[in-house]
Amino acid sequence: MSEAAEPEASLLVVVLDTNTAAWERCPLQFDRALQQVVIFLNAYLALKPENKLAVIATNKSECRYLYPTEFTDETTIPEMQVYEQFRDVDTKVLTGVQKMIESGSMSSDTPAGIEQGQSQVSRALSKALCYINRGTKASVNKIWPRILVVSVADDAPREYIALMNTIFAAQKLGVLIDVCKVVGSDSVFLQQAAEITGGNYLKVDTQENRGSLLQSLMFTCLADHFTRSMLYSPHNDLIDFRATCFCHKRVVDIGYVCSVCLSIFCKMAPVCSTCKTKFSFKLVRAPSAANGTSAGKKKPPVN
Amino acid sequence: MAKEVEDEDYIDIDDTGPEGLKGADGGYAWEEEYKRSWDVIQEDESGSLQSAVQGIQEQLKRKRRLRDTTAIQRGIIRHVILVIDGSENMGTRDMRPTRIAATLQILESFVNEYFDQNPISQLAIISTKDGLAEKLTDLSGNPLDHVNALRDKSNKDLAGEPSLQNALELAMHTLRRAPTHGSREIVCIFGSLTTCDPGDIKQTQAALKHAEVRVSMVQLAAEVQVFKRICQETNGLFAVADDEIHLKDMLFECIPPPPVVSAKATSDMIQMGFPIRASNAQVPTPCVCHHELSFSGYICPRCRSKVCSLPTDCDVCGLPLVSAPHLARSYHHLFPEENYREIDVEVHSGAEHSGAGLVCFGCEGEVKGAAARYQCPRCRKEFCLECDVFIHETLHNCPGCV
Repeated sequence: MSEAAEPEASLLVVVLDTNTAAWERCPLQFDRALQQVVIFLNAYLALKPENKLAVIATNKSECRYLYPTEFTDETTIPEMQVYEQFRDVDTKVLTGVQKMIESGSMSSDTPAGIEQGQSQVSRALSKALCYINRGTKASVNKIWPRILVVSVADDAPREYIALMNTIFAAQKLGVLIDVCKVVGSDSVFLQQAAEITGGNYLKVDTQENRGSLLQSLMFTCLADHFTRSMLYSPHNDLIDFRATCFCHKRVVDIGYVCSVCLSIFCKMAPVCSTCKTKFSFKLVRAPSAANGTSAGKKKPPVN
Repeated sequence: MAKEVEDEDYIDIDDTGPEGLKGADGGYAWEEEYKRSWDVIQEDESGSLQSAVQGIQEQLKRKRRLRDTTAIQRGIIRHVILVIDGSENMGTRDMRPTRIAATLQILESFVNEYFDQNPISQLAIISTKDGLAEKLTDLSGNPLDHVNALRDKSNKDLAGEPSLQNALELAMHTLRRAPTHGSREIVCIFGSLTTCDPGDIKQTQAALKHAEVRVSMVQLAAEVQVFKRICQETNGLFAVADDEIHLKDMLFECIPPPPVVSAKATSDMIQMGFPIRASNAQVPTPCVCHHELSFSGYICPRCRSKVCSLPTDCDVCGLPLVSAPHLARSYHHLFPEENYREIDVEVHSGAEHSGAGLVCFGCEGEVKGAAARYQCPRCRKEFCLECDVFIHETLHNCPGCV
């Protein structure tokens, strides 16, 4: 990077999970968490005047842009003490979330297959990438895009393919995906998103220290592409790229893959249960194939 | 060619003016064609050409984005042999700086894009010059090897005539080892109009057809009957590239996996290993693929040897090693996103959105009154052109449907 003297502006899209059911399980109250996120957004905007920001909120039934929006609230009087853009972002995000929660509690039309504690993360990420795609193309100067996902909901298995598509699209566009998981167990999908795109995955321990969300956001997600190359980022060694078989949902290290639909199985089968293809009789294996010998390894069973 | 016949044709069609041969401006009718190409570009009210250029760009984009979305079986696991012409004809400077330099540069991005979209497929490169064919790389799944081979300076040493037959025979020989569940394809880039063959190329053509190898070719000079025939017979594509950009477009058409038409294609269960990443070791250990010391790597689950990158085949036990995301990367070929319908703005604006611009569901950008908008047939959400192209070419996800 020769442009060290003048690092370019960033484009940050924040995907905010507002799933109320999931936030209820969180020891950190939603409104306090939201305040901390808003402080982070202000810090980001203050870092560089050219920095661009978008905020997308998602819950189990919908997904919408909170900022930037055309909507302006005329009732608020401009405060002299507050920087105009901060106020704009703050009110839009806060009122947007409020509206979303109100409409979410009234309507109960959840798309099929989504459970109470899950959110439409893949839809939000798809929108975020569309926004970034347009933003980077429209901008005259080089702009470094990245996404921050503040996630509380559990992984929705039906989102897997869609989420993977978004991850690869992000990788292609050079978008970093930072993930901040606030409550619940680790999200396997989002861990992969961060790992593949080169972003950070953070599990925030809100149990012990209630201010730690802001602290984590500030320390790991605020730095731009250029600064990150000089920082030690939190490293995750435990990310597991092993596959889960479609038949028993077991993690396999040597699996059998259908050559037509790429379904993964832990055992040989005569017919693929996903695409109903009949397999030819012989098992295809590498020329110098030898069965695994180490303990605990599954030997290829003979059907 | 009989020039008179051409002229007479013109008179028949354009016989409107009093003088027959003369066009509206007083020039000859056949001269008008030259004017038309820039007559299309009209200045707008402010005297700028931007809107006209934009219109042409939009047309180009639209042409590219219409894809076949019918659910057909596609050969996800592919074996492609690239054949590069290394004859003296590739030194011609009609492409900048030379044909061979332009080709090699485009092929580099081709290789990367190919492995991006077909992560569990394989590729090999063959060069043909002086009547011989030579293998630059063997079938392998590692893009770096191929890119390095393409960057080799000796590729630019051009000599003699190419031999299509020798190259095809060598390619067929290489493909013979490929398993039956994978597709077999040959993609040739030829700048020469001749081929110097040891035997009858029709026999090679028949053998290719019998082995169900798909041959595609991009010609840099002109259409040659024998090349075109081979491509047609083997269900491949044949194209003549106008310039560098067109060459790239034509080559990149070979990147999405082709439909399976072969009767011989079998479906198999392929044994694959999903290695675990070796965590930070105290001492660096050599990898089996490059024999270089490194701290990290992936451990083959069968023989416990260390490889440095995925996807690859284990060099010790031959097990194909992939990670789950590599398989997931191919899923969008199996479940393609439906093409969006273009909405007629005039009809639409009369109905509900009278005059006002519409907000694109993807990027939240305003679609200006006259600009075309596109609707997903499934979720009925509307998108701008930019998002439509992005969704179908890169994202493969409809934001409204997921």
